[in-house]
Amino acid sequence: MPDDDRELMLRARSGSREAFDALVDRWQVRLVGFFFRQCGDREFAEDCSQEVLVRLYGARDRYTPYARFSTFLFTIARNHWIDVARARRVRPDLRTGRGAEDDEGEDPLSRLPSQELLPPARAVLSDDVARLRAALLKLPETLRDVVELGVIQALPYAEVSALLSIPVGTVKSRVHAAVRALRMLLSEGDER
Amino acid sequence: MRLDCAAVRDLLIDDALGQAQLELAADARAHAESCAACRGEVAALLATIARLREPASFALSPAARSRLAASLDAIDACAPPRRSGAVVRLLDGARFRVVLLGHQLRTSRKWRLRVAAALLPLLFGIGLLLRGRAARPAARGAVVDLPRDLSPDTRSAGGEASPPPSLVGWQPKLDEPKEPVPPAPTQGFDELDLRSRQRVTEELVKVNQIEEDALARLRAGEKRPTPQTAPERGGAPAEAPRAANDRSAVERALDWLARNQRPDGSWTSGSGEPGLDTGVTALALLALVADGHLGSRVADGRDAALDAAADRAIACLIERQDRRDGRFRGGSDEAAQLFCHSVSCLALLEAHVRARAAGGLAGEPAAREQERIERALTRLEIDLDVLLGGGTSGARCAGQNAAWAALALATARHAGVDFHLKAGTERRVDRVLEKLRGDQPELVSATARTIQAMADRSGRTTPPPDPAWSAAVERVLGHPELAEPSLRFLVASALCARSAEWERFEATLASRLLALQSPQAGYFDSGRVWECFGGGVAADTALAVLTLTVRRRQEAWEQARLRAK
Repeated sequence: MPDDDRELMLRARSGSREAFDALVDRWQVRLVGFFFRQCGDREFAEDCSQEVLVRLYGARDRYTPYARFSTFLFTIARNHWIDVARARRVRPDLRTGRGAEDDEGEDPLSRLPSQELLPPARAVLSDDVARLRAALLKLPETLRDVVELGVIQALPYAEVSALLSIPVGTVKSRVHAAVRALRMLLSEGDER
Repeated sequence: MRLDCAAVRDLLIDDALGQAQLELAADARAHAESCAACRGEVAALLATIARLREPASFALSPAARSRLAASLDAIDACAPPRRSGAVVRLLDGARFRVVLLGHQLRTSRKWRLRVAAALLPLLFGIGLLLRGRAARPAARGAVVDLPRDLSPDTRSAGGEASPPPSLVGWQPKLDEPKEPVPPAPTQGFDELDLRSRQRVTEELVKVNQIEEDALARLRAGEKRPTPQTAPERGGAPAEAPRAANDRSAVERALDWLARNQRPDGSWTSGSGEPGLDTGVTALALLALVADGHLGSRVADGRDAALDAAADRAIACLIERQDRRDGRFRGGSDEAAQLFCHSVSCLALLEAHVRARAAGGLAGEPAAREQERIERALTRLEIDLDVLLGGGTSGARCAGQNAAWAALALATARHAGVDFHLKAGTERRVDRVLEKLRGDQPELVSATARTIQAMADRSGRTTPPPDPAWSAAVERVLGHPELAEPSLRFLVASALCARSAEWERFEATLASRLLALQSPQAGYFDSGRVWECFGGGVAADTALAVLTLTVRRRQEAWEQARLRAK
């Protein structure tokens, strides 16, 4: 994404509502997508994205252009989802996930999330979106996080590393494992 | 470069995400074109990534945008009128000072004294005014003008510090006639209660001791060693050279450190870079541990005050560790933060391993402390990955940071305790020392030798010739008093493993180093500003102790390591 997101955010910090509206135009749909892939409920995803944008607006005075704007935004989004998940008891420990070394040498598919804990998908999905989401849900939590941030949201590995508090090498190995696993899961889904 | 198929696929995934190095990606693409198996697999992987990145067709419901706009309007309506940038900065500055004062009042007895001393006469004056008596000017409180390195805690919550008043850099102008100094106002002092007066008196005695010491050196014709003045002395120490590895010198230096520890267990960076208190505290703890003071958990009855100082330093560092990301808070920018974090990792690591080996730490407390250190080491690895990945390319003091970070990781690797480091730690350490060498080659080279000596205790392998190492030895051997204290310590650590060289080196180094010690107070002041991060008397003293106890420290460490295994 262009660097001028930071510029817009700085203008919003100085009191420009138009600048913040421009940021909303750019990021709201992506935020809904982020939450939708987590919960599978479009209305709920919209509510979450609204909550995040309201939090962002409330925190604009404290914004410092230290990292990319996307990193700042997804840190808030992730924290919000952690709060929601804690409340729903869907994801007991999203922040820390597994230890950085836990996943090395381990088959990522051996740690599937428990499907019954996930909320039901109420919205009607297109086939492709549904297959993609189903494949993502089959990934363990640690891999799903790096896919969401590193692949779908295209954050640099170093920023994913800082956001998830894991080494860059671990981000890399998790991305590689996740893409390989998704390639297999999606091809299985396509064959059915 | 020859790549295998698995590496090619990983590289091309990185490439599709824009995260691969260009040359490696070109090699990988060339391989994929010539390898039938890779071609198909890579195409499928790239298609998967493209599918994941396809923009999802989430048309927002019409109500979503209007609900958000209404929420934002509500926030705007409730918010106070916005202020201009200058007013915001002014108010932020005022708020910061109020918070800082509150922090100082909470954490520092000295500050409470200062405020009490300043307020008492004021209140007294107001009382007199209210009684309708003749007004008189409020007397100044007995503010103790402490030297730079003894100033009370001026740290903010974020680790930044305002420059404390200077004494270390103070030189009396001997050639200028001095005007008679008016007697210091003492009314505020007189109004303090007896206990407070005793405390203030103790502080003044401490300050006077250092001042007298400096004056005694000046009267004797000895100037503070500076890069300009020391060679003029022909390198000769101002006082009779004391024995190498002088125990009493080490004890007096540690006593000075213990006496000047702040109530929260930290030491000030003094004339060094502001905000480095955490790093200086870690260096002081390393010095205490090097001399065998591991805290009350392994108290050997030798010196309870030094054990208590070690306890307070450990507690202070633990208190400054962020529970979430494992980082030790300290430093005013990323480079200084990494320095503070690396040295803190090393200090706590050494204290932990030696306390465990001595039987003073076991069971649940040991596991808890190990977990805390592991979290800090993981953070250190992440920071180094960012540094290596170019996230902070051209970063300030990269060489100094590379040295301490590499030393901390290598020490953890050779601790004899399983710290669950990443498999590639050795490679990471090598890469850090190789890649960041250009910044301070001598320091980095000395660190590499120290680590090598740590791994190869028998000294069987002969390291390849290295001009930077030769220059480091020459510099430290030739004029140890002019060398940066951290370089001195690292060169001594590396040489100590090679006994023949060390014995020759030790006597020279110790006698020259002891000349920098204050004969009365016991602190070391090289008068040198470090190439990075500044110095300060506490850091100088800690590193001098580390240099003088290098053999003892290594022997104790080796025993602890073997016992831990």
